[in-house]
Amino acid sequence: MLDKILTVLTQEPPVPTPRDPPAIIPSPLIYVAIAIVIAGIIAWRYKAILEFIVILCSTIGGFIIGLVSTPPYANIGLGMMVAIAGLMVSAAIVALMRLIRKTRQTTTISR
Amino acid sequence: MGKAVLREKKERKKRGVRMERKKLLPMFLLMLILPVTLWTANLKTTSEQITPAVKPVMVFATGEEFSGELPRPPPTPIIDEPPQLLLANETLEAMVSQMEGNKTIGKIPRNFQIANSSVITGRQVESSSGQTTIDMSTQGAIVEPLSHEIIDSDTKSGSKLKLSVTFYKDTGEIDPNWDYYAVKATIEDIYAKNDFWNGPLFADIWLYFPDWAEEVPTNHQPEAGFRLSAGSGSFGYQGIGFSMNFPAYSIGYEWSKTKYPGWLFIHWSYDGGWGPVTYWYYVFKDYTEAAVGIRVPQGQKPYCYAAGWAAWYKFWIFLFSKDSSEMVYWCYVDPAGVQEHPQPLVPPVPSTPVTTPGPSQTYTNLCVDAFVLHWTFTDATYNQLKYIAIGGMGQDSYGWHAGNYSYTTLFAAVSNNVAPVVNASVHFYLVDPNGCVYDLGNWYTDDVGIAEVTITFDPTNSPAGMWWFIPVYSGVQDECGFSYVYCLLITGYTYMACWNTVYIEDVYLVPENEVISLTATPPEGYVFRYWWINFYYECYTNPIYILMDFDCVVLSRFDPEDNPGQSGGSLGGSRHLLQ
Repeated sequence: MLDKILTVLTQEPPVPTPRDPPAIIPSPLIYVAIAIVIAGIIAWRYKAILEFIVILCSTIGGFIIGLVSTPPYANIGLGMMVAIAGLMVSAAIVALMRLIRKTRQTTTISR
Repeated sequence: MGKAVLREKKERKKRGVRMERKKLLPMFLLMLILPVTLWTANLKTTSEQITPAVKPVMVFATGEEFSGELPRPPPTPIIDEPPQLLLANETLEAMVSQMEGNKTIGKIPRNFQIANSSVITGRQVESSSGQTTIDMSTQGAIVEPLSHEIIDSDTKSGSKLKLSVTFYKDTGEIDPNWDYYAVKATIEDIYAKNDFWNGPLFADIWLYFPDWAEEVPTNHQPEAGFRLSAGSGSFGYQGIGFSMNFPAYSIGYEWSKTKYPGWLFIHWSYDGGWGPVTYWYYVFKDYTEAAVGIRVPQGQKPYCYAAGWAAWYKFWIFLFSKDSSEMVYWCYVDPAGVQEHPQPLVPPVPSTPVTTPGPSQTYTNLCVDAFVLHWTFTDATYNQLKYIAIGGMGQDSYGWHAGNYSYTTLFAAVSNNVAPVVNASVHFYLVDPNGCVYDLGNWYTDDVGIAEVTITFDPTNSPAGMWWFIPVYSGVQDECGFSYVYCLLITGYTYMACWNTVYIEDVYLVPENEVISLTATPPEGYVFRYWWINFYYECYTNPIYILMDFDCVVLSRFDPEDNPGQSGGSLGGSRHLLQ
């Protein structure tokens, strides 16, 4: 009967120590922004504006789709995840396509 | 020549544009297909978007096929209101019990209810034959006997975080060896739930059970892992079931019986991301819950302490910056009717222990003094202070009584030759009105030689009557008695004209504001002179009537017949009663 009465210090468990998280944490969007800027510079340098637009649109589209994919709530975190996935996969495919095209051109020249 | 070159250039440009357009097509297709594929994959992973695998079924409480020719009217169909449904006329054997995955309800037996009715979103529809059927196709439904009761709940609120705990008991089990309980802890963001740019990026929930509780079979929610989104789901443990809100992203879970001796320690940690690399977003926005099921030996009454913590971060698109954090503790829950507990939580100990704590050194004149301080309140929230009283010091045997809602601090002052003994490990015992002795453990004296413990009295749980506080140090002990709820009436008498000898006659517990009468009967050879009340008032009538609006010491003075007003024989050393 005493356990309720004796909400005593003796019976209380040790107070847990909370974590001490950092004051500033990068958001995934900063990585996305950095990647987009780098992609933009490369696209400008190699005249690959269309590829850049594809990467950009895929990233933005991914973000929007992730954002609305868990109705009724907007899910910014999932939006970021899908945006990053869209960016990475589209960048890989674009790079692959350019590589294939370049290989074909090289093959033609050698012939 | 120049025109031809220009024309060729134009032709090349046109061909180039056509080529670019041709290249664009697959890229745009890619752009469309990629996110849609990812989106489709994501949909499958969220618990609230499970697509049912089974078509609508006919559900009747009787379990019989409804044909329209039944002699009685159709039974009550399953609807989404009220949350718990009680249906009739079936046996346990006939129950189509819990089915795995996305299944629908076939029959529901008598005396069994639908667990987690929030999962069921069936609606009434008209079948082709015009009979009433239930469409359960919108969600999967878990059917299991529901036999739980909420036995306690508690809440604690800080300025930013609110913690609530609900304690459930499985009341339907017939296991002779174990009892089954579940605890649901809820943390609510009361600081920034309506602020889009601020929210908890980290959160923790701690639960502490006595170490004789165990998570068997293992059953807790949310499980450790990664969730793509916050959402709702269900928790089921034996006959206990309820719906829950889950957090998002990284979820950690740990339990231990060794980390804090004497406790079963359970800890959920919610992170809005993956370590220091990146953090996705807030783990929850309004509130989130955690639940665990435990079993205890039959008849044991487990209790649970809960604490919660969260850290709020502002969202600056590219960065999260820490706003604040807050920790809230303790929420405490235990079973109702715990006074019928078959075994005390702490094993009874002798009122005077054979082995007592303390150093081996000897003291020349060791003294332990027990006294109590009451903070008594008029309300259950412990806000409206009624009185503060301290008593039992020195040679006093009794302290003032504690009112219905009281915080009582038990003090033990340890001295040796009047000098305080510092850092002495004093063992505290408390005896309730039923004579049960509780070991409150060892407490160290501070730099003025005083050790203390605070307890809370609550009329719903604390038995009214006489309590005794006994501190023990190095074989020396002291007692301090105090009443809870009742006023304390101490009667005594003296044979002396001077008042340095008082002999305790008896102690009574009297309800507050009761009027009592006292009659003094002098022993042979003595005459009654007067009453001395609270060491101040004199009253020459006998008997007397006293309104007991607080504790009272009433002493009757008897003088020798032949020499009234003079001192009689001594009856022992002086002893004060109440101060």
